[in-house]
Amino acid sequence: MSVSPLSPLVSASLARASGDPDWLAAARAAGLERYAKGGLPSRAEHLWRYTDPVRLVPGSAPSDPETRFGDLPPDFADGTFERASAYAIARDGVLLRAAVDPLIAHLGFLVEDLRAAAASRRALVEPRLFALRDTCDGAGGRFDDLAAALFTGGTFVHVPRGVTLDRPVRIAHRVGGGFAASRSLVVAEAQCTATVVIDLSSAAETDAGTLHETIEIHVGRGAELRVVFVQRLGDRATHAPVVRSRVERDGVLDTVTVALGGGLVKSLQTVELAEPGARANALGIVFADGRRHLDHHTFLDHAAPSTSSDLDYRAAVAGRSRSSFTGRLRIPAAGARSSAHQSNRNLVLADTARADAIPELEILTNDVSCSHAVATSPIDEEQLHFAMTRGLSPADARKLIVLGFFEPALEKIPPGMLADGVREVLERKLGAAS
Amino acid sequence: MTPDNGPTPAETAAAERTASEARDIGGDYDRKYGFHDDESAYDFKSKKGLDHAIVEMISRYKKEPEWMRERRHAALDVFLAKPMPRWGNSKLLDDIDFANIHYYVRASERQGKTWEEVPEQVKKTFDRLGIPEAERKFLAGVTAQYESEVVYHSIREDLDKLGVVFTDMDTGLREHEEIVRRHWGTVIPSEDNKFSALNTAVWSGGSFVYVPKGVKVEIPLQAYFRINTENMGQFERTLIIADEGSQVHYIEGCTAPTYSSDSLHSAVVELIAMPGSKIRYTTIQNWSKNVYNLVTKRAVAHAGARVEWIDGNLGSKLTMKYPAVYLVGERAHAEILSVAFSGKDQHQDAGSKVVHVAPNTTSVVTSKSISKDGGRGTYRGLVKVHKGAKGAKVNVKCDALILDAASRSDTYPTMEVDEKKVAVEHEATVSKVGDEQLFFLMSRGLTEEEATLLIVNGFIEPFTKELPMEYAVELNRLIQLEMEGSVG
Amino acid sequence: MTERRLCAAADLPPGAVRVFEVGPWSLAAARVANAVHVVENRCSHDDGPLGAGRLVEGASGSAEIECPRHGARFELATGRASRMPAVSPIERFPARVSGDDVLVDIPEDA
Repeated sequence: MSVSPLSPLVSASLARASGDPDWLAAARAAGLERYAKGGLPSRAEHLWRYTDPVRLVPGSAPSDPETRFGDLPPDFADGTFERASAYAIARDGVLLRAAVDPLIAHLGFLVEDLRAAAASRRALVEPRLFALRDTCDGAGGRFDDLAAALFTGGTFVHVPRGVTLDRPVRIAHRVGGGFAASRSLVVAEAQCTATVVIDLSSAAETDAGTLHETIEIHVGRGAELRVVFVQRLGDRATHAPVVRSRVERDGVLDTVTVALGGGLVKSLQTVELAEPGARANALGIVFADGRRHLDHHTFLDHAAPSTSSDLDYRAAVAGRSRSSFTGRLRIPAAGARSSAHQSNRNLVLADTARADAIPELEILTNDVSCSHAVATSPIDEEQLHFAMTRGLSPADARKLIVLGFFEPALEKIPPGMLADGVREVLERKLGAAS
Repeated sequence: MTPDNGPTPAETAAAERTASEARDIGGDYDRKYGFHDDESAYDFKSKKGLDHAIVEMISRYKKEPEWMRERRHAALDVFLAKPMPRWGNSKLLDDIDFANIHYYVRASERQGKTWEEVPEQVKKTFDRLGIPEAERKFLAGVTAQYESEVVYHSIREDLDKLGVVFTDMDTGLREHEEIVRRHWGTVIPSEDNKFSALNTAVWSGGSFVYVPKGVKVEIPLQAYFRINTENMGQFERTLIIADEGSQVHYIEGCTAPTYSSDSLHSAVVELIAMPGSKIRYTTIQNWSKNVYNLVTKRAVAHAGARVEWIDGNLGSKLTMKYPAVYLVGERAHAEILSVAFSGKDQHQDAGSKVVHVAPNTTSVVTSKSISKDGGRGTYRGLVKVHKGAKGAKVNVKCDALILDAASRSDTYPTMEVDEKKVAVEHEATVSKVGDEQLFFLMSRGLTEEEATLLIVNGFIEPFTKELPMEYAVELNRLIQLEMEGSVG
Repeated sequence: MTERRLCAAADLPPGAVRVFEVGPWSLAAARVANAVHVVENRCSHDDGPLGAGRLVEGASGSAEIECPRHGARFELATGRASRMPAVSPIERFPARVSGDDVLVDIPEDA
C-alpha cells in the first residue's frame, strides 16, 4: 500500500529539522525514509485487525502549533507547587512553558522542551532518544517512524540519579483541529523515585484533529517511576500514541492509562524488562461511549531473567462504541524465572457496544509463572440488586458499580490531581449512557 | 489441576490405569483396527503437481456428477488465487512444495520400501505399542494396501436397519447424491481458506455419515486414516449429518505413527447437528513427524443440539487445526477438548473457534498443551458472540506445560463480544512441572522419569477420560514414549 | 426521506458491483437485471470487502453477493447471510433507479 501524500511530509520534515542539531536532523530523515519504505501496516497483521491504518495517516503536514494554551486544568490553578514538583503545558505537541518548584530546583531535575534539550544537553538526550524503537520487535514502528520524522516538539523530563521527587511532575497537553506530531522523553536515572502525570485534551470539543505522539521512557537501575496518562480528547479527535519503555535492573515502572475520549484511538505501549529484577505494573481503564473506537495494544517483553509484570486493563463499553484490547506477553529463552500475569475485564453496558480481547502469551522457556484471564460480561445483576437494596436508584447503582470497577486504577492517580476529574467525567458519561 | 500440589486421586488413578492396562495394548489390535479390502483393482495415481488436468482426471476417474466436477475446478482456481496464510508458522508453510505432491493415489504396489528401511524409532514405537507383526509392516508403509481412500469398518447390520449411513465420501456421493449435494460445502465453502480450497479441488476419501431423525447410534463409528506413500497428499473430506434428535459418536483415529517423507494432509470435516441432536467427533492424530497436517473442521449446531470435538494431536511437523462450532440455534452447546504434544522440531498450532449466534447458547473449551525438546505448542482460539446471542455463556481454559527450557508455548485467543447479556471467561496458564510435586512423588519412591510421566498424565486426564478406554490407554502409552529420555 | 444520488445508472450496468463512500458508510452497490441493491461494504463475518466480491445465484434463485475473503454469501434483497462462515445479516439500504440516476436512502442517524 502506498503512503500518501508523502511529498508535503518530506518538506515538513526538512523544515522541522532546520532548527535541530545535525544528529537529530539525520534521525528525522532516517525515520521518514523508513516510513516511506515500509508503507502502511497491512490489515492482515493482527494488531491492525480492528483499526484501519489508513485512518491514521495524516492528510497533510503538521499544522503550525497554537501558542496559547487556553484555560489551565483545575489542578494547575493554585499557582503554588503544593501538589506538584513541576508544571508544564504543551500545545499541539510543543512545550509552551514549564516551571519547576524553586525550592527543589537544586536537585537538578529537568522539565524542558525536547528539541531545546537535544541541542543544549546532547549527552543526556542523544543516547536515549529513538533508542527504544527496535525494542519489542519494533512493534508498531511505522507510525513511530513518521512521528520521528515530523515531530514538532515535546517534553523532556529528566530525574537525576538518587533523586526522590515527593510530588509529581504534572504536564497538560492540549491539541486543536489540525495534525500534530510530538515526541517526549522521560528519563528516570538509577535509584530515583518520581511520578509524571500527563493529561491530554482537545482545545474544543468539536476539534477533529489528529495527534501522533511517541513517548520514550527509560527507567534506570533501582529507579521507581510512575507515569499516569489521562486521555480526554473530544469525540472527533484521532489519537495514535506510542509509548515505549525500558526498565533496567531492579527498576519498577508503574503505568496508569486512562482513556475516556477520542473518536479513534490506536494506542501502543511496549515495555522491555531489559535486566534482571525489572518490574512493570500496568493498569488501564477505558471508557468507550458514543461511537468511539478505542484500540489499545500492550506488549510486555521479559527480555531478562527474574523479571516480573502485572497488567490489568479494564474497559466499559456503552453506546455504539467499540473497545479492543490486545495484550502480548513474551518470555523469551533469556527470561527464565520470570513471572507475568495479565487480566482484561470488559463490562458491556449496551447491546450495541462491542468489546474485543486478544491476550497473547508467547513463552519460550519453562521456568516461569505465567497466566492471563479475560472476562466479558454485563453489570452483575446481583451487585446491582444489592446496591439497590441499600437505597440507591438503578442509575446510581450502575454508576457506583462502574466506578468501583475502575477504582483500582483511579486510586493510583496522585491525590488532588486528576482522579476527581476522571470520576466526574465517568459519572457524567454514565448518567448519559443509562 | 495446579502443578504445585500433590497428585489428585484422579491423577493417581490415571497412572495406575496406564500401568495395568498398557500390557494388554495390541492384544486385540487386529479386531479393533482390522482392515478389509473390499475393492479390487487399485490402479490410479496422479502425477505430481496440481493443475486443472489433474482435477479433471480425478473427477473423471471417480465418475462424479457434473456439479462436483465443476466445484473441484472452481475450487482449484480459488486455491491458486489465494495467498498462503501470513499468520501462524509462515516459515514452515512456505516450505510446502505444492508441485512435488501426488494429489491422488489409489494404487499401492509401487513402493519398494523394505522393513530394513523403516527407521528404528518407528519400529521401536510399534514394539512398545505391541502392534502385531503384520500390522507393523502395514503401518510402516512396507506392505501398505490402502491409500487416499478411507477404509472403514464393516457397517454393522443393525446400523443399516436403523437407516444410518456410514460410508466413505466417494460412495456417499454416488449413493446419496441428493443429500450430499444439499449439504456438502455449506459449512466450509471452498473459499474459506487456501487449504479448504485445495481439499475441495482434490478431495478423496473421508467419511459420509447420516443419522436419521431420533436414531441414537450406541457404538462409536470408527474410520482409520493414514498416509503412507512418499510425497502423497491426503485430502479426506468428511460430512456428518445428525438429523433431529439423533446421536452419533465418530472416531477418526490414528494412534500409531506412520512413516513417510514430507507429506501434506489437508482434510475438511463438516458436521451438521440438526435440532436436538448430538455429535461427538473424536480424533487422535499421530502423523509421522514430517507431515503437514492442515485441517479445517467446522460444525453447525442448531437449536438444542450439542457438538463435541475431542481432539488429540501428537505427530506431524506442523499441525494447524482449529475445530469450530457455530451455535446457530437457541440453547445449542459446544464442547471442545484438546490435547497437543509438541516434541523436537514439531509445531502444534491448534485451538478452537466458537461462534455464538443464537440466544442462550453455551460453550466450554479446554485445551492442554505440552511442549518438550524444543517443540512449540500454540493455542489459537476465537470466541465470537454475535449481536442477539443473549444469555450466551463461554468458558475457555488453556493450560500449557513446558517440560524444558528450550521449548515454547504460545496462547493467542481472540474474543469478540457484540452483545451485552453474555458471560465470556477465558483463562490461561503456562507452567513447568512443579518442583514440589516432583519432590513429593519422588519421596514416595518414584524415579524422576516416572514422576514426570505421572504428572503429565494427570495434566491431560481431563482429555483421556473422555476417550474410549482403548484409545485412552494408547494415548497414555504414546505420551510415555514421547517422554522417554526427557528426564534423568 | 434522505434519498440521495449515488451515481449515474449507466455507471452501474447489470451484473456490476461498485463501491461508494457516503458519509461514514462504505457501500457496495450492485445491479442485478433491473434491480439495484445497496448494502454495507463489509462482511459480517470478518469485515471483508463485500464490494470486491462477485454476484452469484443463491440456492433459492435469489441474487447474492459473495465475500471474496472467505466465501460468505448474502442475499442482496434482504441482507440475510445465506452461507457460512457468515451468520449475521449485513446492513441494507433502499435503492432505486430514477431516470438516469441511482438513488439510495441513507437515514441521517444511521
